[in-house]
Amino acid sequence: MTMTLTDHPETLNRAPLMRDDSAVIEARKRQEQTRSRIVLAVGAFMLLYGIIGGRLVQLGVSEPADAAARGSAASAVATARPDIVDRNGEILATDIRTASLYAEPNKIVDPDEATELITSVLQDLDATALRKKLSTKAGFVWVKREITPTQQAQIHDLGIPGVGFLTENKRFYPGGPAAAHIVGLVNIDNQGIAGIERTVDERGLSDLHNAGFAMKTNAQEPVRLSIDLRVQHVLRDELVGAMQKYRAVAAMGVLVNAKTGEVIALASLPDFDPNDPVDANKPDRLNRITAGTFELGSVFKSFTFAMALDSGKVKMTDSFDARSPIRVGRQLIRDSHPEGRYLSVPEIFRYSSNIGTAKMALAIGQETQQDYLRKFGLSTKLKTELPEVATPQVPRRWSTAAQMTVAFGHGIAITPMQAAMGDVALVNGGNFLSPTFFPRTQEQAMALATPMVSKKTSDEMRWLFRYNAVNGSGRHADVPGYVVGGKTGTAEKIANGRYVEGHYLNSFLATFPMDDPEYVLLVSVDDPKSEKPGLPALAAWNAAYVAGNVIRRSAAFLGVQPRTEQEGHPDAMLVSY
Amino acid sequence: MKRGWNIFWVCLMIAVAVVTYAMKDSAGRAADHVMQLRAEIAREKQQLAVLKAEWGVLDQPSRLQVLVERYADYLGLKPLDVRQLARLDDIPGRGPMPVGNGKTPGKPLDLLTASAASGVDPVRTGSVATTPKLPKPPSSKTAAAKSAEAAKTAASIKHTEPAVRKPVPLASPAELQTGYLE
Repeated sequence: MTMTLTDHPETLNRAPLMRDDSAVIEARKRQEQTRSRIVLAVGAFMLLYGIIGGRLVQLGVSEPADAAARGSAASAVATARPDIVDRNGEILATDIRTASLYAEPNKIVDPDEATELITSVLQDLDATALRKKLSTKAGFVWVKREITPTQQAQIHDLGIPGVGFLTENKRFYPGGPAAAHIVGLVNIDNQGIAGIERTVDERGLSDLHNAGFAMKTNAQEPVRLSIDLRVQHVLRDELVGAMQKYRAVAAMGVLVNAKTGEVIALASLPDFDPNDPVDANKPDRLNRITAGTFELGSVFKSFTFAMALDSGKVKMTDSFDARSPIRVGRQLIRDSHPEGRYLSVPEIFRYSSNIGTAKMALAIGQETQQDYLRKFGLSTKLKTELPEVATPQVPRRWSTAAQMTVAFGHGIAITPMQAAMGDVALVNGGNFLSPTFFPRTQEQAMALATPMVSKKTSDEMRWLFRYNAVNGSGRHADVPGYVVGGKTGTAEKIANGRYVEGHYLNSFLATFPMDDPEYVLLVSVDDPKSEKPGLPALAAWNAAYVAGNVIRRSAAFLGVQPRTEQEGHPDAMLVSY
Repeated sequence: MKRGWNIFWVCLMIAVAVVTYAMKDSAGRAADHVMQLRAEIAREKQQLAVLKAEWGVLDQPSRLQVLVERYADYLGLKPLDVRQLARLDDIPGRGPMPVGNGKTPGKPLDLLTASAASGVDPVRTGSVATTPKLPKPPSSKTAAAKSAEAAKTAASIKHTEPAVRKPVPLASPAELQTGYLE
């Protein structure tokens, strides 16, 4: 439809018509024109309001916070992390905002005065360099990153023009290295790269971020761990002391609740300070408890005894010939303290006889031994929340020699955590549990437990452990009142594919209180030297002492009730259940 | 007549405009206040987080251990021994004790009232050999006066309650915690 917007379109083609007719026709034409103009105007306004109305509906339907959220997400995702607290609510890791001081030199009126004022607060700054920096015409320079809130307030109060602050979120670990291997680390973008920090990310924090939630620090619940910071400190402190006292290469320890499988403390030395993780990636700083595999030596005999007793092929009253060493191929199996006689089952445990244990393994049979190893979780990879977990190394070919050496803990390398969890099941009535770093109740734990050995075997093992702590190699770990039981292990270390005499990995696997086991503690000292010349560098002379000290200092924190002397007698173990 | 109506409509329009403006203005002020409070809350939370972290540092067992070792001699501190720990059940129970006038021991309440009457505390600790001359326990009369006083303070608290509660809706936490400033 074409339209002319002239007021008098008829003037263009005026026809030679009659005067009367032309007047009528002209009036009609005008009427039509007016109507069409009105329709046009109405249409235009309707279109306009239609557009406005449509846009309003569009804005109303869409989420109003969407745009704003998208804008701030980029910065918030990188920064917000939940706090990590121990079982009592003590902070292990938290986010703090740190201010960084910057200057805009082109806005600074008097660089000399500004320099003087800034250095009056930040005395460690180089005044000449700062003056030079501020005298330029640059638009932006950093003066100092990460200053304290007090310094920020002081500089703010000075009121220097052209100087400002930018806030950044920084992960802070109040305990420093106290629980470094459990809590882990974050990278520069505040993403977890090790330990529980990484687990938290993998458990859906990153999913939450992607979905647009969890962007505010205060909106996130703190992550509560099963760790007890006090016990953690005691364990670490004792291990630090042991490293110095015995001039050891490394030391490690783990304390697990025997009823729930919760890890209460875990330390592996040398460690690192997560606040300043310059050497966190050095190979000797790994978490030895879960990410290192070791031949634990005689500690492993506990498991051989348990499988022998549980299979019914060996009874507590049996005796084995331990008079002469066993020769298998090139290897010679002998005892470090040869008794040279027939030994009963408790005596084999007490004197830690390799010959006796090897003969017990032969009595069990190879198939059964491997079945039990699998059942004890010693030949498969450990399941836990920490991302750093190593796979145990089992013999490739199960020869008779392998069968016998595995019985006393050589030729099989497991993580110390696996040994601790195996012991947990041995003493708690035979319920095998996966270790957890998050709190859980006994009911929850029992729902997840799998039967490992019978209750009777567990009772017999408790008797053996206590008997060894009273009469055998565990004497140095016994703490009066806490009824400690355990097994020592002195394993020769392998260097260049051979066992080296004089270099040991000394361990002590302890349980307390033995009449109703609540906690299992494994302490290992790597390559200790004798404390004084003349004293042996065996597990009973270092690892056992360390374990005893840890128990003495932490049992009260753990709420273990002291027992009387009668209650601590080995034979009381069997009746108290 | 028509002129009167016109004036009425104009006045009404002005009045409505004024009311609308006042509402808009107060809404704007309220929004400003909300922003201000949110900023304040964010600052306070920041402060709390810093203080908590600082407390975490000060309360570290390793730091406390250093302090304990340094002042152990001065304060006479010793590590706790296992023998120092006992349960409440381990403490031997007290035998029945005669009350001042030689009557058989009654319920705890009887003992108390009897002691209040005689002025002698019937409870004797093992370390005190002779009849202890303890300060006179508060008589029932003063106790009654005390309870009356307590009731009075409770009443006064109840009375002032509405006055305390008044500013609460202004800072309703449920709304303010959804701040986006953090």
